[in-house]
Amino acid sequence: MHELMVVDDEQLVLNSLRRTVGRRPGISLEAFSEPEEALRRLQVKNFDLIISDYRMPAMTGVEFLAQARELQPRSVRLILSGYADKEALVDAINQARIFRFVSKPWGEEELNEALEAAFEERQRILSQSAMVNEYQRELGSR
Amino acid sequence: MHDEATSPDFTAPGIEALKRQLFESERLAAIGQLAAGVAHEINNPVGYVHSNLQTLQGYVGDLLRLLAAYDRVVEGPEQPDRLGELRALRQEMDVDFLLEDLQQLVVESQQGVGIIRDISLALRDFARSPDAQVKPRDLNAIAANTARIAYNEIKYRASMKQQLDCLQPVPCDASRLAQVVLNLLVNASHAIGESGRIRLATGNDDQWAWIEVEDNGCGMSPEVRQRLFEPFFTTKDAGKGTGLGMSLAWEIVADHGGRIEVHSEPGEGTLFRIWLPLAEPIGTVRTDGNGN
Repeated sequence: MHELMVVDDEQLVLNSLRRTVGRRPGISLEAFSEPEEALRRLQVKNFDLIISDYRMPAMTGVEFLAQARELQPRSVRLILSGYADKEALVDAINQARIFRFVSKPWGEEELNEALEAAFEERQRILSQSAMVNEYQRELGSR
Repeated sequence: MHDEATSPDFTAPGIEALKRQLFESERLAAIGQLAAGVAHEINNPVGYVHSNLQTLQGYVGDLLRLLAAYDRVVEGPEQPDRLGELRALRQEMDVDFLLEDLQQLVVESQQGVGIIRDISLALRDFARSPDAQVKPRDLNAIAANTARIAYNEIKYRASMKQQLDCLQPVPCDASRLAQVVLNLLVNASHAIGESGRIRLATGNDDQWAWIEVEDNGCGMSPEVRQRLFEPFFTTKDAGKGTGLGMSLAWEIVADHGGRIEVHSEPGEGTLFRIWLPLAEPIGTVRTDGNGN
């Protein structure tokens, strides 16, 4: 089961994503309209993908995802937003290390493609760190 | 020369054409400044309405399939195992969820289209040709529409309170007046750092109507206040403002036979009050060529 977190201050965006992405087999989706609440959730549960809006009242998506990255560095992070000036994009890449930036209004195919690629990326990260662990164990046992 | 320092001097001969160009470019700049924010606000509802319609297509497809199955049962010969098929199909489709969510989906999509419609209507005041005639207008509607447009710029920093109590129609050029109010709202939002309050109010007495924009932001020093209405004077970073907003605001309000009042305390906030005469000003509204 792929664990997916979505954060957007617009509840109706969350609802529409629940209907599409959230009902796909193999995906379990948790939606949050407040980034602080999402951060609390990240402290107790692991997620494969974290998707966030950029412009939100309490904190920007970059601030949220940067904190999410500290909590779960192996998560794959995406931004889904209709607002993108250059500064926001640069911060998203440099600070939050996002994997994809999907523009609003989003198309179903575009979003699906991004999600597929993001799940693959997550798989790559996990197997890579599994390999590293194994290697370290091997080194340690010598 | 104190007067010239505080109010723009547009009285030199032959300057009328330049002035018009300035008005137009400043108007477009003001719209451009907000375009990103407005686009963001429209992109949200467009995003979920679009997505919901796609979901709806799936729901309708399922329901039609179910209906066709019912029809086969109703019209075909009686076969008890057909009922079992129907039940299985209903279960597979999760019809109970579908029927409940269908209604919710339509309500939410209507809400989204309503937001897009409101923004589009509010933008009309700005898109109107700047040469529109001076007509008696509802000041409250102008204020509310402008606040709607500026809302995206404001909502991440400040809460906004509106007290719109002007009971008389005010003779004005709605497009240009909206530009003034937009300017004041955007400035108020910029004066607020992280979080604050903005108050937008209108009112009237026997002879005058007013619009107030008040913020609890950084306020202005006496030096800034002194030069506030000078053309090209700006406190913003290079590239962020033309320095024309307030001088044109002054000009637009003066054209309406009104004036702008300013109260500001550094660290406390700023109050702008635009006074507009209720009686149509004679000879003061911009007319081409014959100047002042």
